[in-house]
Amino acid sequence: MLERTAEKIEFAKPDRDSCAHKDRHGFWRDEPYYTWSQPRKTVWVSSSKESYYDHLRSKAQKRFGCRVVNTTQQLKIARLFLPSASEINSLREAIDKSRSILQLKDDWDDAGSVRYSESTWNRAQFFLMSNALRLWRSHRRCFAAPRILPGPEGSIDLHWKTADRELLINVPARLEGSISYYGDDKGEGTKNAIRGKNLESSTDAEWIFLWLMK
Amino acid sequence: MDLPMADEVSSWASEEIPNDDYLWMRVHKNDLPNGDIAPGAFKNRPTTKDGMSTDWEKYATPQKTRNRGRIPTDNAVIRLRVGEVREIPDQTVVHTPITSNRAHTDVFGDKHPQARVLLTRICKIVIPL
Repeated sequence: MLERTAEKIEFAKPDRDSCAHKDRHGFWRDEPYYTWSQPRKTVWVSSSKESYYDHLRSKAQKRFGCRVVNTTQQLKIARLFLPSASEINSLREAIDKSRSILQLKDDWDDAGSVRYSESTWNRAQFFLMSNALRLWRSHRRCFAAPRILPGPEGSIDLHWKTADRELLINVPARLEGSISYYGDDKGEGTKNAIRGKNLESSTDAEWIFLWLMK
Repeated sequence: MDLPMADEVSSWASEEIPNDDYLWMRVHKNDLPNGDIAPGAFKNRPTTKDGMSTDWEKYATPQKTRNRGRIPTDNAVIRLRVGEVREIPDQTVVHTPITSNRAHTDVFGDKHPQARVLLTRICKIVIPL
């Protein structure tokens, strides 16, 4: 609509006394300008935008032989590769909230515990996000956000407690240190517990999250 | 449950602690997010090779344990049953009295994720924040 208004102003009938148009006023007509003086300029209002884009889309399709999808289709495709907003948002929120760990100073527990480094926190959040995306791509599932907690010796704990299972993953302060974990099922006790190290270096760490969600 | 000085000489003899006895332990408010004990509350101090400091009930009360904290009101006190602690892999309970605290007891052993998860399960808060 704004474009149309701008058009009208640009081609408005000039004032009779206007010097520039004094010899032309007889040629002005009340009909829209494009009916007589010049070809219509391309003006796209909101209702015609879709068709214009459709036109461009089909043009591109013909020219490059590719398939161009509309917004609805794009969202459907994105859904295949990315977790839904609510699932990933709760994880993102938990990670953002856990930044408060970095505010803790040395001796934050009055017992000499050391502070937490940004690199440890980054490692923890990268571990969570990369595994969340990997799990989504392969299984279309997303795990619940863990409690992200200060651990011993500058390490960070990722802690899940579901109705049946509990899992603790520890991200050590030393970058060369391996990520260790322990998890068990309340029904089975410690008999079939999972425990170990080097979780990060494992190419298929997603198994632990599948175990948690089982 | 004070941090033991490295070479602190104790005038108290170490005793064997029965499995049915309890240990008291302070937990700082930063280790109690939303009132739940974080697994990170269980750690060896001052280094990982040292033990986790607790007080034996024979010579201490929960209130005394709390009052030994730098700011007592910043701490809750939990209790752990000695026999249950000893059942956790790699954990040993040893009475290590120091001059200023006859009740001082260490829980030695790596506080790996399994040990910490199991410790959170067997503990009970006796003095909340």
